[in-house]
Amino acid sequence: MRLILVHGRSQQGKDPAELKKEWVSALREGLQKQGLVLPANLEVELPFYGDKLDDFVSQFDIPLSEDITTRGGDVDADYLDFRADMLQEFQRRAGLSDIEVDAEYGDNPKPKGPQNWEWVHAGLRALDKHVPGMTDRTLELFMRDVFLYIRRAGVRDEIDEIVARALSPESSIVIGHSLGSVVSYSVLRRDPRALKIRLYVTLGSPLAVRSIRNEFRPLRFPKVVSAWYNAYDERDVVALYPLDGSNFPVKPPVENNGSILNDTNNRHGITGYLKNPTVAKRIHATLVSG
Amino acid sequence: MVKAAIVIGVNHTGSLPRLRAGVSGAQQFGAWLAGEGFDVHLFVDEQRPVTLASIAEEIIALVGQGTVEQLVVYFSGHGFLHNYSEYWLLSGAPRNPNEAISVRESVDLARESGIPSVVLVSDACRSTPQSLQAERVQGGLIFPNDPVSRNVRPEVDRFFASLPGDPAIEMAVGESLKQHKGIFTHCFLQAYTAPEPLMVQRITLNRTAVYVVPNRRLKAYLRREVPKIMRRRKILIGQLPDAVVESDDTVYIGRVASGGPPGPIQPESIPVSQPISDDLPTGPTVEEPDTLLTSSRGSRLRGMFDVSDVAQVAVARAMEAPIYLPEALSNEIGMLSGRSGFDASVRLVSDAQRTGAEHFETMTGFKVVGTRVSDAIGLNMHAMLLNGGGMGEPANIRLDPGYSPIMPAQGVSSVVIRFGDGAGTVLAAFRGYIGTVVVENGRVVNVSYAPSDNSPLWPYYLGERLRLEQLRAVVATAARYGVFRVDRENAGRVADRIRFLKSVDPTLGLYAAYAYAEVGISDEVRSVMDYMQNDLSANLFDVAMLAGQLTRSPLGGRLGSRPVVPFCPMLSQGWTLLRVKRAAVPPPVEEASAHLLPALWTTFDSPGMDIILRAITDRRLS
Repeated sequence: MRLILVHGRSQQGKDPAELKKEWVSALREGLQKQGLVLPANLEVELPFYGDKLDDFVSQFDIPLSEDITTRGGDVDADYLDFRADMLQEFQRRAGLSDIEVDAEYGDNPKPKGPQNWEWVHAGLRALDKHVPGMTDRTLELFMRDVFLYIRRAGVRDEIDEIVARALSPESSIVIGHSLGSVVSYSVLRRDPRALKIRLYVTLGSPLAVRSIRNEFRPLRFPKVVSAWYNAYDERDVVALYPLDGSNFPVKPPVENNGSILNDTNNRHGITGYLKNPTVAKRIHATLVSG
Repeated sequence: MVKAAIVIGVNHTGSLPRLRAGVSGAQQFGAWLAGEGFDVHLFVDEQRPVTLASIAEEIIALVGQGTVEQLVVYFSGHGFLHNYSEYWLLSGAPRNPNEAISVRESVDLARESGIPSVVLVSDACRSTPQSLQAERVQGGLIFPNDPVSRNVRPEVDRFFASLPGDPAIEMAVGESLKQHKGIFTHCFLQAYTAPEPLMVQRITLNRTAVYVVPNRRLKAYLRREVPKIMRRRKILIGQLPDAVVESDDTVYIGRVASGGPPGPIQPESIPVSQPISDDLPTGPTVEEPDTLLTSSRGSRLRGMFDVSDVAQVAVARAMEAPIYLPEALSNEIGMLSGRSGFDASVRLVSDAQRTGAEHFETMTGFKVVGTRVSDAIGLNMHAMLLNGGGMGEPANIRLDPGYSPIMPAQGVSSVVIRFGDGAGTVLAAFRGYIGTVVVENGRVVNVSYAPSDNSPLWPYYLGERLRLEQLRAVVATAARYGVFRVDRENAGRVADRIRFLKSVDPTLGLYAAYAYAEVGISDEVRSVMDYMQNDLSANLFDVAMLAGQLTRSPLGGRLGSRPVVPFCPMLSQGWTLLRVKRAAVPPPVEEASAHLLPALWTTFDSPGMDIILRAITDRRLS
């Protein structure tokens, strides 16, 4: 059995071996709480695309809100639209009212809308203020990287290729965290090989965010996957919606678990998910089933 | 595979004649689709009116699910064609001008739905409206206004009961004369119960062999079967079905009803490398031997050809594309070319080009054939009407690209030309080119450009003149009949040929851009725009709009550093795409758009021209 770990954003410059060790340690910790251990013959692989994504970030040079202030000039309208759509979903999920966004926007006479980055940034600041553990900068960086991955020509293909190379016809479990869940879904839904993914685990996944999932229409349960387990912390801002019948209506349905308590600062960190005993146990059950 | 269908049947539309088979046709079609595994949503006016909002809401919900892989939209009811766009009339139309479905625009939005296969089936008339009331029907859009879908480029197959400009018929069929059916719907369903062997494709579904009728193979069958029934019933009204099929042989909506093969099965896709080959029926069962033309490629009933075949052959020949056409078929098409008026129309365009001036001192101008001209105004070029023409003589308008009394002079300009009867048109002018405008019955039927004989492009033009004149005459005529189309298979070849010649006539690029946009080949539309920008240092309004480049451009007539001319679409069908392409025209022009006349090229009636000319005088138009 193989275990394939697909990381999220902001991993550039890291040592892939260290990163793998961090994931595996967290999983071990989760198992330990249940009196379980990882099988001895387990092959673990972590396809690392952090530096590649960072190259794309430099190459496309998409400015953040504060950069727009200093640089001025044209901002990618497509990005502004994408960001505004995604932000609206974040705000709705966080229960933020227009009044709270207005309060951040202040007495600004410019028209309110997606083309006005100040309005969008006011929404980010409001989230920062009202959602614990999630800074406006983190969210903005997240949106930029997701945008790059799903909307900019060539980015997805190159990153998917790195992950696809790590897959093989042997029985495997794939774990995707955050943007890594988007990347792994992209790979698994279109991989033509006869893969045997016994369990597909998505942790803190933003896949059901409309502006992300619409890029994968028509939505399908990947043919190569036998079971799909999605776990999230209700307080995790990135994992906006469960992958359920209303938000991600694939057949057979995805098994969702929204009862996870992620103890990392922003409720989104991978270690907080993997060391959760329920998540660890679910992975272990498949690992030992052969 | 998740499949859904929106099935609409409307018997009663305003004061139009009550139909007898709209609802029953929809019910029958819906029942068949349900049997094919579609989640069918039926909208019929049996109990309550069918409204645009209810249909749009359902489709928006289906698209919102994100899981639908094929969507069929069927309509049976009254329809019409206006400015080369179809409208399906719902219960509230025409009194409520919004209660119709704008088909051409909806096709455009369907391309952003993320649904890989969308199929429209229309058992409705495509006649042009006879009344102002019908012309004012704007209709609405039934697909969601979603952001551009980059990962799935849906193929939109369209099946129409008749050719542009023609009616669709419902009549009594079967034993009981009370049982009315739309002939098109009847034949469409029959294609699955009694298909010909070569229409059937074997596919493997869940390790089981299934026999299906690919959409691509329906077109020729319908062309054959509909007229056959009409003839049997001795109905003299012409109804030849039309189709635009973008999908390949793997896409289908129905299986063969018997479940098994009807005879020898075509194991692989039918090769469609020749421009005409996918239009030719192959090996039908023939019932009326005295009316047959037989060829090595199969058989076709006399009278089976229509102007779209004529256009396809003419365009292929003008492009010097290799086509195989047996003598008998060639003769049949030749005869129809003459009978249908296609040849006369080609001659009209060719002759007009050779009539009148080939030279202006300023290298730039227009000649107008077929009517008198009373006024001409260039927004960025000074226009002088040298002679008004009429009585068989062309009018000549000289433009001076170096001088403009209205706006700063530049190498291109919007030009407003008013005819003797008060109607008129708006066109783009380019330094070094003379435009030829052909007017018939007060409407602009053709516009073409050629380099002035004192321009640097003239020697190149002389070398290409014969080929170019023939090509643009047949392309313009095909467009006039609403049948200039490109297949995805031959799009590249058409693009190369037209790219080569459009530097000497920008209208070829214009026609090509519309043809590409119709079948959703957005890369080629963009490519036409880029080439035209380089050739002309400007953008044509229509091409930039089709390329989706006018969405965010504030009114001001520029796209980046390049001007956009003219200030509105040059082809009439462009007006119906403004909304869905999120492009805008200046407010006075929008006001004048209520005064557009049905014509291939933008033609305003006299009050419409008054609005435009007043706006120019008041400097509200630039």
